[in-house]
Amino acid sequence: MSDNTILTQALESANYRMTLNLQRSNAKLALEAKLIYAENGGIFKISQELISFVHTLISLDRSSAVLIDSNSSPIEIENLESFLENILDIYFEASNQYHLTFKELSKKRNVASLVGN
Amino acid sequence: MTKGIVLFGVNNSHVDYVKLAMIASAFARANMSELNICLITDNASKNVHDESELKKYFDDIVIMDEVQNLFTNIRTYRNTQNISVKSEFKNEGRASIYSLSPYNETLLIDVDYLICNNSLDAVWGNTSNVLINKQARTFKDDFMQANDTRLNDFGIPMYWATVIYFKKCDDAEMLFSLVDFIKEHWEFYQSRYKFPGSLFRNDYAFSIAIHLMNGYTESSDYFQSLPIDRILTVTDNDKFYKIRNKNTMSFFLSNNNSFLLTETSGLNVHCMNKLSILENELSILETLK
Repeated sequence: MSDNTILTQALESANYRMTLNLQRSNAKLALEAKLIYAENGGIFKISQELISFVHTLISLDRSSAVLIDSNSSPIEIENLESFLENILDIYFEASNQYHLTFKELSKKRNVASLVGN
Repeated sequence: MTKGIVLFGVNNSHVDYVKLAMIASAFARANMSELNICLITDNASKNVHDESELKKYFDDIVIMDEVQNLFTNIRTYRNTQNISVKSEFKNEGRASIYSLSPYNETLLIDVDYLICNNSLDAVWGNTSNVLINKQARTFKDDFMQANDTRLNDFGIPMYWATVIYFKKCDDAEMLFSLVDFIKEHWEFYQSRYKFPGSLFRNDYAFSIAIHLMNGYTESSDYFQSLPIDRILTVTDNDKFYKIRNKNTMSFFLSNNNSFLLTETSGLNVHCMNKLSILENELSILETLK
């Protein structure tokens, strides 16, 4: 195999890798956008930590609490159970979509298929 | 409480900002919950388009008085590194949006900000009076150029006026009044804050106004971030390529004298290359219909 062929293949592979990384990064940003939840004037980024914390409060028989939102504002949540239910629904939907996108990307072997062409 | 999106668009000889506002409105309508959308423009720009066409995209149209331009704001509009045109940048009326907005809660977005998800629905009823971002990133996860992060190497943080949420309240009124004041004393503030270029930029004016209102500190407790705390940006060296469905678009990203193609789904994008959006206006508006 000539040097030129190797170089061409290397460049194609680099282009594929860069595009794949971009698409993965875009999927992660889309996940982040889906994991936004607003309640009572606060904006929350749904995370495993938030879900666990709210679950802990409920398991300690707290029905309401003040949660610190993503802008560090204290937000009173009057019904923790419904808050948990809502954020879990969003989390499952968003993470399942992210999983699906990730799996689809890993099957695609060239730039054109990665970007939907 | 009324709430809605406000788009500000005044045409120049090369760029139809009202058409861009229609496109931005169509994206917002397709991807956010139902809400009012208002165009703030001048008579000359409005008259380029049919009344019926405008009504399709805007619930309210506010015609502003002719702005006394303090600057000869000529900027270069690039469509990748290969094509560029110079034209007037009529952005001086933006400070008047506070009084012109017909809504109690306003989400002010640039006409080149393409909304493809509903994360901005989370701003309504927020406890903060003003939400604005101070980070912008490209798709390749690069920070923007140095003077898009701070006003100079040792300067104050740059806030992006691309998307601003505000309520009608004393604080927001003061912020917009300060922006107007800074605009009128641009040379003084340029010497004081040492930002580059001669172009009047709302981003700089808002950054300075926020710095003043924060008591000359970098505190970010008062002016907080939007739900997604950075503006995802496609520069004017990159290019809008095509739209696939209401929330999926693709872009050519400049990369070492060539381009990478990327497709985004469910991401709000600030596409600085306005000319490339306009090149695709028919397919965009048809897809978002």
